[in-house]
Amino acid sequence: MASISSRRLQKELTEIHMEGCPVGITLVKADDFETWWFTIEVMGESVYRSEVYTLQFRFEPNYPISAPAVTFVVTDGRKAPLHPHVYSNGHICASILGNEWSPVLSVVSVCITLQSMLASCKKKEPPVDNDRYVRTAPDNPKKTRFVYHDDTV
Amino acid sequence: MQYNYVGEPNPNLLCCICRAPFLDPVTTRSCGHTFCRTCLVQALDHAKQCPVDRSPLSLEDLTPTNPIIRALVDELIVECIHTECPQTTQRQLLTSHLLDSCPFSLVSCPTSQCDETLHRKDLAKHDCTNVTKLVPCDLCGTEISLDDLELHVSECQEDTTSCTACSVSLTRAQASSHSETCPATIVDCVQAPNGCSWNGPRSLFESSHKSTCPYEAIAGFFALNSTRHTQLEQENNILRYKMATLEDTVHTLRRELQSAKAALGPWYRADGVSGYSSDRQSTSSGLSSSISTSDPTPPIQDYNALAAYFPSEDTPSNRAAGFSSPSSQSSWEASRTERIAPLNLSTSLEGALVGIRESVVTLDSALDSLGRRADIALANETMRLNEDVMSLRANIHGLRMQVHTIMIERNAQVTGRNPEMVDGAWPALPTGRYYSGTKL
Repeated sequence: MASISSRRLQKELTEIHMEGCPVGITLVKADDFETWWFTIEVMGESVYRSEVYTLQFRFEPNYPISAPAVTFVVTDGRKAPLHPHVYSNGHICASILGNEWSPVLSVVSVCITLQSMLASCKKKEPPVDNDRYVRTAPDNPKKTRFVYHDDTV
Repeated sequence: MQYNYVGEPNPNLLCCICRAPFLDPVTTRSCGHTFCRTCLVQALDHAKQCPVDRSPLSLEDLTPTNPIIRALVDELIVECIHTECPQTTQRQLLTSHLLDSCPFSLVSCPTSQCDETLHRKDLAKHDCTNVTKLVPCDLCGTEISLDDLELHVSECQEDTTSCTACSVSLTRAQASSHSETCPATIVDCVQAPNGCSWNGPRSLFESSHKSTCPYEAIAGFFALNSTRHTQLEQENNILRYKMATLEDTVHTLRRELQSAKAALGPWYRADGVSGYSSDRQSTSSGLSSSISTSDPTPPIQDYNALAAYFPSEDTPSNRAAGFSSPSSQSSWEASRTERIAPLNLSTSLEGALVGIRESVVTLDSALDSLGRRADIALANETMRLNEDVMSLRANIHGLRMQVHTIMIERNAQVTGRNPEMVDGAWPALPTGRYYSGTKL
């Protein structure tokens, strides 16, 4: 029997195939209901103009009750964007991926949120504690207890 | 249970957690959002807030959703969970479909001995007699099903009985052969079918009766007689069968003949009759009285009686006689009779009927035109008569006027009054009664 997550993800995937992704976001691979890849590009005037990043979603069996683990891909020549809330290992410090996750959110809505997070950034700079975090960070960003201190971006 | 919905359900009926139509929906009392109960309970396990607006929420804040919404989602059409089953049904009825009617549901065999589980559609074909438990018979050791055991015991060949005549104890298998040889058994004489009424123990028959039985003495005759009897019976059967077949054939032929007669009517003639009747016609002047009195065949009379109505080709004299008598009729009618085609008895019945029909049609049209002609003549005559009557009426009026004048003159002479009237103007007539007749 299909788990809750695969039923829900099947519906989301059908929707993406039917209606397409929002502008600047493309589906790279969704071969199973565990890991999906998207490319994300900030449209219009921004500091990330014409830069393409790759996002990885990892789903747990009780998605959408629990949040997906979302990171930027930093292997095979791909890089994480230089952003105050994005660590160089690809981890993202965003409240909606942690304690403000809600089951009504979806893969596409997370992509749009991250796209707007990048678009609203004024200055390319790494997080203040980047080096310390990257040294000690667990593989799964969900195991990190981020402190969401910045409401501006 | 997971459902496959037929068509796209209304998006307003989808739970925003599982993105499927609500199952057992609940609504939050504080913010009015609706979710599947299981979805929301899981989400609340994770975070005590409404998934939509993140307002604080606990299990106590939930209330069952409006029954209208419940009815809407319960009545969505879903496919049966068995992919082979083509049935679609309302979501709320799927459970009863699976329990009661789906041919692909697994059910257990209704008979108590069989514990097989199978598709409902295969239930009719299911035969569980070959899987029933076998038990051995106590007497002969044969393995046999429980249902058949009682029947088997009553006829088991190893069961012991005793001979009714000589009271020897023996098994049932031996009993049948024993009864044929037991010397104490009462038997009939072997000639009983031929009439011997003796019976007694078998030992006595062999020793004393056989030698004295009168039937036994002529046993050879009986055998011969019975074979002959059988032969006769067989022959009799064959003859009876042939007879029935022939009767059937005769019946069929008679029916066919009758229908043929009915179809032919006066055209039907038995063999040899035609020659006879033509003879009679040619010699009718001299022999008609004697033949008609001594005529033995009424059908021929019928035929001749009818033939008078049809012009016959072999009796031209008859036809001439028939039409010569009314020769005083007008030439117009005579010309009409010429137009009717004469009946030809040598053609088929159908041809004759067609000829008659054509004649009738001609007659009909002729009658029609005659009627119209008569109508016109009558109308002309009537007009002429009308004119005559009118002129006569005018004459009468003139005469009446003259008589009136004379009468007034006479009155004046007799009474001597109104002398001025004599050569004066016409007096006014007292009433209009006199004019009434001339107003035409």
